[in-house]
Amino acid sequence: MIDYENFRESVKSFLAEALTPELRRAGKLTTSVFSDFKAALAWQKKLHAQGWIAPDWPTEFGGPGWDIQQRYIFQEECKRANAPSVVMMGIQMLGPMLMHYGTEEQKQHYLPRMLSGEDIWCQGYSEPGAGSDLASLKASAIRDGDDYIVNGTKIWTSMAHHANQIFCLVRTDKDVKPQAGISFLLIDLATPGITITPIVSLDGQVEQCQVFFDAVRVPCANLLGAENDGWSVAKSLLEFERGGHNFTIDVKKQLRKIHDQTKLTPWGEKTRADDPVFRHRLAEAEIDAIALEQTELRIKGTVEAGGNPGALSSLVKIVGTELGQRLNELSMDLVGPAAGPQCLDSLDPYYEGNAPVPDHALTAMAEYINNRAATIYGGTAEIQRTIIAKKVLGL
Amino acid sequence: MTDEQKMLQDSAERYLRENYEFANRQNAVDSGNAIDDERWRAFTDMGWAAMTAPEDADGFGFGLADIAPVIESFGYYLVREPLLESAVLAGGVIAAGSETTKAQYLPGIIDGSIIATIPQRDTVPLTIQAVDGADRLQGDLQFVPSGGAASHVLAPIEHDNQNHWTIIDLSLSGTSRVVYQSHDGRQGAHITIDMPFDSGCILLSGADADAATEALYTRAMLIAAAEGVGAMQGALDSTVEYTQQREQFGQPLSSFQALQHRMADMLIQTELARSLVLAACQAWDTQANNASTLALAAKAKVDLAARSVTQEAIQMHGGIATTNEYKVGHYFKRVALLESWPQHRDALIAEFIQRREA
Repeated sequence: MIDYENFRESVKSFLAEALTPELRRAGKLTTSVFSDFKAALAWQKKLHAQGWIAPDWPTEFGGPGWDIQQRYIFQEECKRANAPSVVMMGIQMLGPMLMHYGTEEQKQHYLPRMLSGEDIWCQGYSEPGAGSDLASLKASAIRDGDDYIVNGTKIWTSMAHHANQIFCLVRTDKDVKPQAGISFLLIDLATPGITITPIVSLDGQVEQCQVFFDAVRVPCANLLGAENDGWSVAKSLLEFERGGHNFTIDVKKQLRKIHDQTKLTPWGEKTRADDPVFRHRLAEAEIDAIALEQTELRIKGTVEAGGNPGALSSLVKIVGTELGQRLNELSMDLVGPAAGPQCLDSLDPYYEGNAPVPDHALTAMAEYINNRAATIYGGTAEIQRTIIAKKVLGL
Repeated sequence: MTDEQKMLQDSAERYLRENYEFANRQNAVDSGNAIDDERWRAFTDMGWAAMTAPEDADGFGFGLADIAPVIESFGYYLVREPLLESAVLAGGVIAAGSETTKAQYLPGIIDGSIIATIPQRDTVPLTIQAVDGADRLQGDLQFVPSGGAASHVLAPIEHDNQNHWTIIDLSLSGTSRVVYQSHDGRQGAHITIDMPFDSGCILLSGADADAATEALYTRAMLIAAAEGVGAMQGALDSTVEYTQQREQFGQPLSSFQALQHRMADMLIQTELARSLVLAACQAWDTQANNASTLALAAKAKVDLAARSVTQEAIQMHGGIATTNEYKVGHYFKRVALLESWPQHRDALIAEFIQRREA
């Protein structure tokens, strides 16, 4: 029997010690799924030293051996303490696929470097012409001796400008049905022929890039899984992700922030915390947050009992992201004109100057902007609804 | 879940599926009777009125979480007999009372010979007035759901700065009611009381009465919420089935993505509501700290979700759903009335805010 309260205390005391003021500030100023890169890397190294960098991994590969409840507590306490988020494409996405499909050599080479932060991975799936219809992707890899020659382009590659590795879905057979001709390649971004172009997002910052491949030579040893089996490799991640991400934790953080904001925002001689109209709207969102939480707990119960939550994971993706967006709107309504200043300097956790707006207003607009992507990435809200319609309702 | 609970759920679902088809229900509504006597007997013969009664009163002692699937079935099959009001709600208040009143009323509740109902939460309590040297119980109970079907009504009394709960036999002189046909197929009533006060009918007083009020209306919210989830499921199933059959432009309506996504939203809302209602029932059964907050949240969530789900069901069926002879519109009507039972959602949300901030 695990003593969860004891576990929670040990997490809290670790966080109290390990999180420097700059790291906490980075967590607080996080306006998308990514924190300031410098802070994220510094935090990764601390977690790695503690052995807690990969909560979901099996112990044989360096995971801490926690059960679902412990992982939930860990995530929850990290959010509560304003820990920055770690760049997740390696550990959360590629890692599990490597464990399952990788050769012994690949596992031994890549997994430890992933944990330590020596390798920073980005994901090369989407292309300008292949978004929701991912299987229509065109970037090609043609066999030439012991190498593949890769040509084409990948877009929405988050963090590519900080990464040194990319995992890609590429077409290795054009003459079969789209899903059957795709392979999964691991590519070193230092290879000649690769160009990375940053894309400025609506909030004025760079998280996304487009990556161009011009006759890039990739050793065949970098194939993950069998040739033309890349679609299965990529799909296995979806199964791994089930019950993984917990939206309630994010939503609760947003709610805490809004409650704090209401007390700091004037409303006549009082504050917005006394405004019955705003309170009513906030309460309706809170009730939905409780419904989301109870649904996630139901899923957790199903997973723990060895069941498959199926399309309920599409349900929580939709509800979690759409509710998050609704909460962003409430924040915007609170801060009013203070949402205007762009504050790019002040959003840097290492910045030492004065911000043009109070702290509670600093992130509202950037979060509102950046979170539009939440219902687009990781399978759009429309794709998720189609999954529910097909798999649950049988339409 | 115990075997007993599972058996109860299965038998309730099967009985209602086989004996409560929509056409039969409508015939019963059209007959002008407030309830269908044969079905009422069947419900009580199968022990449904004993579900939550205490074991020392020959009940099964089930919690609300245990019977939530049965309540959902009531919503799904649009059951209009006030079994849950009588057995779970009124029965719950009686079970909290003295051994004397328990012995007097619970057996009748369980065997179905008593049909008791309860008033709205914001009902003005009855008063006890001295008239010509004798105490008279006086007051009005407005919009009592299933007041037309009831043999008895439970009512709050305020007297000597104390609250009490009483039970009133509606066949006695000094009671009168105006029965109305309700949009949900039930018969409600305005009940007027002006009768000699009988202290033997007092079920609870003072702090006990206050605690019973809190418990009664929390349970009423949870039951209404679970029924609403069943209604949402019914509206969704009907919509899925209908759009798969109905063809326009040479293809089933269900093949249009614009409709598929809206049905996915109906499912999302139904499942969110279900998660919350189940959690709230469990919290209530175990008397968890957040039980009242969760119950308020659950009822408010169901109110909002059921409204949109049943509206969408009508829209996707098209004209057919606007007719009284088609089932799906009846879910819409039932959940619309549940929104103000036992108290309107806006009041629940206001209370939710207070409790969250306390």
